[in-house]
Amino acid sequence: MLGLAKGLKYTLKNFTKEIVTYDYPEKSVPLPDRFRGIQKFYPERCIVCNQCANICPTQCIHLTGKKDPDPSKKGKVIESYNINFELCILCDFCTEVCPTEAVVMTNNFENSAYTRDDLYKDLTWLDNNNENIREENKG
Amino acid sequence: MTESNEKSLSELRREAVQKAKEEALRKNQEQQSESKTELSKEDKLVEEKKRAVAEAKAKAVAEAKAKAAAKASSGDANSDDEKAKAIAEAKAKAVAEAKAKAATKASSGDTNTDDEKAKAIAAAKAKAVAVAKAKAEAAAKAKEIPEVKTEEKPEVPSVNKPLLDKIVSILGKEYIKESYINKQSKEVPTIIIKEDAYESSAKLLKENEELSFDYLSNLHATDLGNELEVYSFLYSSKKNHSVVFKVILDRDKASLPSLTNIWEGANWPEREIYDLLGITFINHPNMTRMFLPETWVGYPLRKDYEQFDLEV
Amino acid sequence: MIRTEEMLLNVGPQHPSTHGVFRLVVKMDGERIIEATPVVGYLHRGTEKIAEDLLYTQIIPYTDRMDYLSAMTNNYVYCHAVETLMGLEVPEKAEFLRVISMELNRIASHLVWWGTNLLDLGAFTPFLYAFREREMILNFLNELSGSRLNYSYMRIGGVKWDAPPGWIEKVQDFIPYMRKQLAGYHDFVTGNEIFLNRVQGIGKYTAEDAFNFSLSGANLRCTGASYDVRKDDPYSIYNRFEFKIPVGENGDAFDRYMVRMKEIEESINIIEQACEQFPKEGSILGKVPKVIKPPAGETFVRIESPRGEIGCYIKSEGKTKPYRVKFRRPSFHNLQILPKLLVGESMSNLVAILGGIDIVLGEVDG
Repeated sequence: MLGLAKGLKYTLKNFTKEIVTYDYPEKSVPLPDRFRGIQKFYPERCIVCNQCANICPTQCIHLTGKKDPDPSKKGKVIESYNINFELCILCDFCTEVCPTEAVVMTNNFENSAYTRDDLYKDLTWLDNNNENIREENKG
Repeated sequence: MTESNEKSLSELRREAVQKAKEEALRKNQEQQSESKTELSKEDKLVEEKKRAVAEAKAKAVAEAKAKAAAKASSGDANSDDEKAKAIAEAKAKAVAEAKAKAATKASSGDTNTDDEKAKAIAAAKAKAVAVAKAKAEAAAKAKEIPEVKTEEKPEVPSVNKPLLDKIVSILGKEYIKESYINKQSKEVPTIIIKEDAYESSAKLLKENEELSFDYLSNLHATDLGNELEVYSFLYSSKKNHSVVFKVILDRDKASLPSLTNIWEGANWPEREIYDLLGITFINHPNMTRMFLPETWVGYPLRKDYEQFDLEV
Repeated sequence: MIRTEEMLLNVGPQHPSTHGVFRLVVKMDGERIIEATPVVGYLHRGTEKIAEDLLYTQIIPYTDRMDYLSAMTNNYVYCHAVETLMGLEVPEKAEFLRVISMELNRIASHLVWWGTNLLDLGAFTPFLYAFREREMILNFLNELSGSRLNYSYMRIGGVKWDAPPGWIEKVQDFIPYMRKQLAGYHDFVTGNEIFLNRVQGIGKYTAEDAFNFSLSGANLRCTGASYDVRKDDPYSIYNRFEFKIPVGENGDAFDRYMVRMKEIEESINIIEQACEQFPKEGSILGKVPKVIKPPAGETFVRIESPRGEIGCYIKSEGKTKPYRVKFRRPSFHNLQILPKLLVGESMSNLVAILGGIDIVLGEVDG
């Protein structure tokens, strides 16, 4: 019976301790800067190098580019940029290979939606994903 | 009037078309010839590089042959000397190759001037010849340890070499297809056993007191294209050593005796192999698919696998 | 006389005490189990087949998802295999970060096991305490890698991130706290008479059986056999630290419990030493070519994960994609002994024995 009594004592002691749980939906959970959430995309930085689409392990990034409308400049500008969040596993490889930091992670992780179409994020959506952007992007 | 008009019109058109075609053709040809000249320049460079490499290779082969001949002639020399010689030869060869490579590299670095390249190649050749001569001399001195100055350190024999020799002698050389130390895998001794000696050798590996491989760490198979390879990694808890034990199978008659009588732990891995690669294990207590349903068609880890039902 | 009919009972695949999608078809005679047939494959994703079509770097996130309770060790075994194949050297600092994160992950994984196993046995509260401490570890790993479970933290030749400022100090502060909590756990559960009656003498086997069935980890060491890859085939920088390999005596469910609890202690010791010796300067990524293309050949490496010996075999043909990848998954091998252990036991012991083996179904099914 000694063991049971000891256990009960441990439980009783814990009654006086601080609460450690989060009041989640009401209050947001504190997340570190490095947290990998839904990407933010900067169309003006993108040089259409296709590296993010190539490194993606699940092939969830699709992008197209067009010639720069300014004839004095060489290279391409982005035309469309889609990430399919049915597939994306937030592995951070796309932001790791991006030479211009055009695609970066944010701390936004809430991704639930009523239809699967909502999970298909396009350029405008990703561009407007402005909150909680990760500051340090290269390790 | 109308007819002749039409005629002339159509004729005119035809003529115009023909002209345009001719011009296009001419332009095309010009372009092609231009690109050809460019290409041929590039081709030349590439070919020269190729030739240099091929020559180097041919030389190496010739050297090897010469060596083999020299060996055969001095067959009665005692084994220690032979070993020393072999090591020396290997060193010399490595040096020659390295030099040749360096030379070709240097030449390919300066792409523009053909002369330089040719010179470099010539130099490489000369060097290779010199080394070959030196080697030939060394080989001639059958009972002396040849002195070949090398920058490389002599290759240290692996710590696991005695273990490999022991395993080979216990299992019997006649049952072993190949045995080597795998440098890329933490110097683990690796043996490829002949198919008919698979079960008996496995038994010996476990029950021999000097080996006592009591732990089957890993068992899996690989599709090599024409053949299937079954790979097992054995460990001995008493002696703290490990060995890789392999067997190569015919793809069409893929069956092996089961090892479940020797290591019970082979049960599920063998089922997994059957499931994914289609090797049947004889005398296995339960030879059914491990992960996939029984109705599944084909063996997914085979390289020629095509999905039966594309919508799955 | 009462005559009992044989009964076929289907446990799972959707049953909380199977810790995932694991199915057991149990033939019973009254309360006794006559025969048990495990059915697996509900979570089979064909990782090995997928890996054949991926670049070497791209495989790393897939390894996270095998043993999702200790993704760090899975990351490590894969990166270690590629590094061995290529003969790459990993900087010292990266190895330290790897060891600290792996050992933290080992504690987190054992805490999940501790909580859920006791939950299976009917003790609800330990689960809450276990997850309270685990949450702190997950926060550390989240700060380090940016994810709470599927870290993808390691890269071939090093790690992705350096430790954030103050992180090492935070981990150091955690060490005495965790020691105190662990002592509390022993007070709370280990001496409890009900718990002892449920686990002592249950699911016994000998060391010889354990080796024969290719068991590893706590399942092997509970029998008294002292086989731990960290000691017997040292990898990374484990030979720099002093730690013991806890072993049991009887090979029953209680010894498996004690071995895991002591392993937490040893992991704390390793973290403490690693934090003290942690180098301030140095790079975190070795000299790795831009395109990872290991030379032709094959390799097999094994390391110690919380569940046992995890191994990775890679066959390369000198291309950017591997020819064949195979993971030796400890849970898969550990589960093999289950049918043998269950014969003659009662239904309530089934849960205790299965919980004691500590399986992760993502790993069993591959």
